[in-house]
Amino acid sequence: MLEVDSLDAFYGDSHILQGLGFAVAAGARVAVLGRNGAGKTTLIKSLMNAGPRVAGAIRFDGQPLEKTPAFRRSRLGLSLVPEDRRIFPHLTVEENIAAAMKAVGAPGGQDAIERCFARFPMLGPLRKRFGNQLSGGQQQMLAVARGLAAAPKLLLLDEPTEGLAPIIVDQMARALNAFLDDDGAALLLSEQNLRFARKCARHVYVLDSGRFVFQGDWRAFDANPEIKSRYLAV
Amino acid sequence: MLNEFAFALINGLANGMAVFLVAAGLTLVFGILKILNFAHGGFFMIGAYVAFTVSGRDNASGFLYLAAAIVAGGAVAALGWAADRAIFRRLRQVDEAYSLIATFALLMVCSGAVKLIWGLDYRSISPPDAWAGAVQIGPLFVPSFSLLVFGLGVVVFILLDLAIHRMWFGKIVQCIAHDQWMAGVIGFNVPAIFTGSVIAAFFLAGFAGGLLLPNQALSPELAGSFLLQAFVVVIVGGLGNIRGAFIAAFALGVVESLNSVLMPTYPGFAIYIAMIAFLLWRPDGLLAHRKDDGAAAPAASLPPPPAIAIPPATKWMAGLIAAAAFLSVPLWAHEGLLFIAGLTLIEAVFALSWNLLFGFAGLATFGHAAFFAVGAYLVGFALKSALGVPFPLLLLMAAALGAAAALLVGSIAIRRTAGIAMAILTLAVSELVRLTIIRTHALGRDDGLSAIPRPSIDFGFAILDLSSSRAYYLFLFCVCATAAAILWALTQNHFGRVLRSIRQDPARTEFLGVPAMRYRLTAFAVAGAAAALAGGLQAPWSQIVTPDAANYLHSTQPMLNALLGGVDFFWGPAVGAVLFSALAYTLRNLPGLSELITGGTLLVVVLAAPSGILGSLAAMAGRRRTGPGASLAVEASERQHA
Repeated sequence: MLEVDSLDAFYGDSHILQGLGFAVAAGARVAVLGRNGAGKTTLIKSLMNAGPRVAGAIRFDGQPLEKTPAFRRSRLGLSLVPEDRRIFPHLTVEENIAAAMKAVGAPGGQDAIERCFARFPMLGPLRKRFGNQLSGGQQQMLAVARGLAAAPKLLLLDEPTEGLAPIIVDQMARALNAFLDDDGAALLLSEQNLRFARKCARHVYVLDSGRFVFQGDWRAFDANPEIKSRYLAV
Repeated sequence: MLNEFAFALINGLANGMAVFLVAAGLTLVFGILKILNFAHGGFFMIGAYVAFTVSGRDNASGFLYLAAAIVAGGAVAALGWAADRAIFRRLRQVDEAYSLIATFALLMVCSGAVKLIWGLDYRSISPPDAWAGAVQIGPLFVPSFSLLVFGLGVVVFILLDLAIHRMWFGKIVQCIAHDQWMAGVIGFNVPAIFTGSVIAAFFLAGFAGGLLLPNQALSPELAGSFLLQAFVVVIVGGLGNIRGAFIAAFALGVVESLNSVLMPTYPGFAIYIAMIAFLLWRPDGLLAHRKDDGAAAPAASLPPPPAIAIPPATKWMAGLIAAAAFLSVPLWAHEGLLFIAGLTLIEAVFALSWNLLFGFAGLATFGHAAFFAVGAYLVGFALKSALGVPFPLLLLMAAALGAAAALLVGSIAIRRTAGIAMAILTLAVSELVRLTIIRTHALGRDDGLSAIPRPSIDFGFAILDLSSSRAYYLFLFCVCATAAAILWALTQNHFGRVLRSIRQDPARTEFLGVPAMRYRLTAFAVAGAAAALAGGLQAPWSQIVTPDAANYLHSTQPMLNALLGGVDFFWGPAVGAVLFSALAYTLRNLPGLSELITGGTLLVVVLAAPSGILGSLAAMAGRRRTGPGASLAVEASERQHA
């Protein structure tokens, strides 16, 4: 569904991503692991055309994306949840979710909103709260819910567990998996939290200094412990 | 007394709502674009003229009145669309001082265009017949048009508030205003919605122009008449907040009516005093969005100075040639040109003093003309009443008074406010100075001081008679050169370096142990002294001083000069003053066209070459000297400007 070929990304004169090639099939769940500064966030933003200058070929559902602006990509079925959450502070929890549906012209109205709350039960009691009245964990949960609200074909999830309590991380993994199981959406997850990545993803890429240094399933990952110690351990 | 007050209150509130009609579009543009749009007054005026063209002098019917206002709104909306494409789009990533100046240039373009299309005449338009009379409320007879304006203000507010806070369109616009990036990522077509809301805001400007057309003197002065009050309302309400603006407009009406009942001899004072007091209490306004609410504020950093400097030999050469050229003017020029040359020198010192604050200390003040006026009136008054104070002492006194006034204003303004709030605060102070002058009999009220004699200086052994314009010009040249040299010397040592680092990052400079506030205050005092000195020199040169010396338009003159020349260069403002004077002199017989060209030139400079003429020259010279390989540094610095 997503095919990426020799992807380069730049911030100013800095050459961040260097010739990445990979694919995410429909319904696949992929994690990109790597240290801070490896290029995980840049990769996610590049796929959305939301920041870095990008060269290379990105095809989504067989369609070349080239210069397609971010808002069109999200209407095609890509959805990005940024690591800094960026909840709209002046909208309520419910309105934040509704806004994401309106933005891509998704049908469904109140029913779709209720389905979303059913999947993220911890958001239910907060639905009339404004975005700036939420804790960090609540904001993150809402950010993921908002990302899924538009029923994307591929969810781009950028370090969702950063700074969250372990119990919230588990809740989020459960909610996310239930959603992906039901809708059959694909996942591209950028993470440093191996525990969370193991729960959600089946295929692993390891990114270091803008290049992939490993790809395979978890068994292959565990069979090569030097990958972890060399590229992921702090 | 009670009746008098009730009557004043009704008038005040009607005016408050009129101001709100203008402020509504202004605050919307700010909310969306984060640009305080000076040109709003210009577009408001264009709306009034369009409505006048549609409806004619005598509005026959209420229907025609409303239709004309809607047509005016549509026409201005179309202009707004064009202005957004051509100008505002390029201002989104620019420092707020630059966008203020760009919109000011656009205001000049608007008023030039109006003069060209509709001429300079004053016209007065009566309200539509149905609203021309008065209504009796208890013992009061209230003009029905005042009631209409009040009602229109309230209706427009309710509609806008519903649209912004209740309807999804408004909520989406707020999403974009808060966080453009995220709004785009979740799928909103940000550019299209931006354009749509800018068009809506400009529609409001034109619509207000049409609605407020009756009972005004329709003239090219109209642009400024509501603009200052609308700024007050927008700033006090909390930038970009329509509810805040409405409350502030209401308060403005009440303050104004209290003013007219309790202090009838000082009309207009209370608004500015109340605003200054309010801003000191709450610099962010009544209902401001908190800065830390997750909004991605655009980086308000100033562009770095160009990477390549002009070689010192070239600088000295250019300076000597310029000095020689100015010294030679009395030898070949006629009286008129000599007069312009003298004014140019004065404006150059004035602009250099402003840029000490902006280019070095990073403080964009909009009320610098107040200090100029203080000096001009002091010297003008003393010479006119022949007090016998020696002229050099008089100039020193002017400078000292300017420094004291600047210290006072600075210690109020810098301590509590920054950015736009400080710009408007200084603007309000200068407006108070102007109003005070207009109300002071000894200073000639509206007419100013005229027939100011030129002095002679008694050295004991000889008397220097400055009454001829050639003699005074040479004296003027010497004083201006000395003042400029002092300012230059100040910026070349430790003081200048500290100021520059404060401009780049005030917080970090303080972390290094520098008392940034004290440095900024010192810069304020020095700049005030130099501005007052320039004013003091101007009084006997023009032999007339008018309250326009303190007008906010005069405050913008040094900004235009500084930007034109290049704010990153000490001599940039002086170069700009020369170019500006030359431009104004060439176009002096073309009313309208001169503003159009001057404003247009300035717009091009701000948009295409924000480092000014000198910055562009330095970049070009650097490229030629060092070849393509080494020009990377220049390009890099230009990229950051863009």
